[in-house]
Amino acid sequence: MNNPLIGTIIFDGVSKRYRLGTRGTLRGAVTALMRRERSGDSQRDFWALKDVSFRIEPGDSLGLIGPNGAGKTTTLKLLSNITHPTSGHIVAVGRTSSLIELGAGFHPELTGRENIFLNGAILGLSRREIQRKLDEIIAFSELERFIDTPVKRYSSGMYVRLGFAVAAHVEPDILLVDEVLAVGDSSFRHRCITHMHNLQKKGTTVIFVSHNMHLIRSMCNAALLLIGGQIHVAGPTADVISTYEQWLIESPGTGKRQAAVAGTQGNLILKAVDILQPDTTSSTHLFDSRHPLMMRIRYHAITPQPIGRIDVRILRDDSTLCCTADSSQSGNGALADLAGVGTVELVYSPAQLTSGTYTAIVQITDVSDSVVIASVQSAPFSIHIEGVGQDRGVYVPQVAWRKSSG
Amino acid sequence: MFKHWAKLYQYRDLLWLWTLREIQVRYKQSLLGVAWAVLQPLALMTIFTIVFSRFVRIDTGGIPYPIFSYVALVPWTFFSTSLNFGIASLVNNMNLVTKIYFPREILPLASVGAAFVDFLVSAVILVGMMLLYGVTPTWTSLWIVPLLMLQIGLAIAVVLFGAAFLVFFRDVRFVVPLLTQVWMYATPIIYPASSVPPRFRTLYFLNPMAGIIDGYRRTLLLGELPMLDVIGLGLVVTLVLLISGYVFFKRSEPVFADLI
Repeated sequence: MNNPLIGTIIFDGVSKRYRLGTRGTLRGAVTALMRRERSGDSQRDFWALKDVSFRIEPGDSLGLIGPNGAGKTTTLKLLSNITHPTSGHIVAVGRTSSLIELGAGFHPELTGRENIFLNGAILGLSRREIQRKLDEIIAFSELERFIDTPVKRYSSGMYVRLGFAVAAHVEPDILLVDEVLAVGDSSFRHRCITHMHNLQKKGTTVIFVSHNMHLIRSMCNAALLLIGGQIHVAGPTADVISTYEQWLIESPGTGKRQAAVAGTQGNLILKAVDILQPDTTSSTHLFDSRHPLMMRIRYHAITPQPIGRIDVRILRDDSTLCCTADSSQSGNGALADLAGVGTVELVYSPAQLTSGTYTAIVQITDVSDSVVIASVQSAPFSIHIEGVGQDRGVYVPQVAWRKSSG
Repeated sequence: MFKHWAKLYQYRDLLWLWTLREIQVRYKQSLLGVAWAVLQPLALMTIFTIVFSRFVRIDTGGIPYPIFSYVALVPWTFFSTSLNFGIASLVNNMNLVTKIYFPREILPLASVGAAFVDFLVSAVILVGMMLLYGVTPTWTSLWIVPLLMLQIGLAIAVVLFGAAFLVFFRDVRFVVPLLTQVWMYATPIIYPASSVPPRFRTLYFLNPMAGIIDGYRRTLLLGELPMLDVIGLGLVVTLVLLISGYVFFKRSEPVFADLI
């Protein structure tokens, strides 16, 4: 019963190939058959994962990050046995449950209660187990009043709540989570996260896929960055995330940036971010580190737009991420939505950066805080500070020296 | 193979609940509800009776045509409904197949299970008709149990083949109605099996449904035994199809999610 290996996950040289092109008809099959005979034709092959190896110990929480199409979802699908590797081996010891699609198999005509049984059975619970946990599941979903209503009358939030409530009670040894918390209100999201923390405490191995680095940071003790189906880097969460953030900046037009580009075609446009010196009118690109620095973000919201948060990063010219500012930490409720044409200003007082050339990057996420809907980059600006050696390190702290002799 | 059986056993509650779901969903929003199950064989019986006992006379050996055809149409409808729903079951539930793991054969099996409930409903009418026509059942009626099992085995075999095939080749969908129609004419539903020329007999009874349907008629209406040689042949064919269908299905299973 207490197999010490339960919860272990091993990927050993796992590759997964998808064949693209005409399939799914007899005609396509004939051509495919002919193609296979001349097996040199690999143009239509797409390798979602290439030679991926890693090992997760029981009770670990791994954050899986990377741009779209990096193979994150494929990894989860392989782990949950939905699809099988083209080559390599996968070992996952224990009961695996996934939060890939909440409420999969829900039928709109059936009531919430009926769907709990159905969904629970799909997730591998027996009727008796579901019966035993039924009250708990209903309470968790907070849908007591609607539990005998067909789910077609549910809002999408209620749907997800019910789906999560069932999935959360599977009591897996390995839990796979894929960007499912984007829906639902913040109190429900909070409860989901608490629940996952509890599972972690019980020793459940968790694999967590998200574009939300805050979540990854708070949930995971290790992370793995996948790019193009290969492991780019793996290790402690903070290190992997900063590698990923740098990678995002260095490779324009991929991943999150793509989402940003798509976002600018939407309702919110970030026109520019200007770097200014407060209380002066003179325009300059050279700033003193000991003086305040102001950023003015100019936006145009074509329709009023609720947002998740504004994220401002300052990067040095060698792509080092120096600092971030997050509007959701500001406690300023006015930053929760943007309308019309306007500006958002933030002041760094003082700038505190070492001498060098910097750029600021502003990203705005949607309400769910999972997709970047708009982003903009400032023109390079220079920071200057008098003194020898003040170009070393990242920032210039205000220090107090003291000497006492005993 | 035993690994697969263990998995299926582990998920037995899902098989049961999914079968219930299939039934509930089919009847929950339809006005006539369960009556649909009865309507199809009844409607066919009516039209066949008009055509084949008024316009064209078919020699039924003295059995009134309505019960002659209904006793065949009830199990046949069960068979063709199983095929229709079972073969489409994987593709119809693709959002599930691509997202969650469970033994995939549950979907086609549940379709057969749901069709069986329809069958039970229309079988009640059959009993009523037998009373109406003064047919007194004899002990040979017990033969319907093994005949039904054989029929269910055959339905599962065809459905496993068809459902897996449909994932690979979407155009199989269009073949299914044609298949059930041709199969119906190749089975003694409209006409008695005795009207098949003797030289085609072996070929004809390679279709297990031919012996099964003939068997229902003999055991229920005439108090006779089924043709045992024919049933034996049908059993062999069904077993071969069932085993190969299951193996084919399980071999294809790993790629379902990639292809659907």
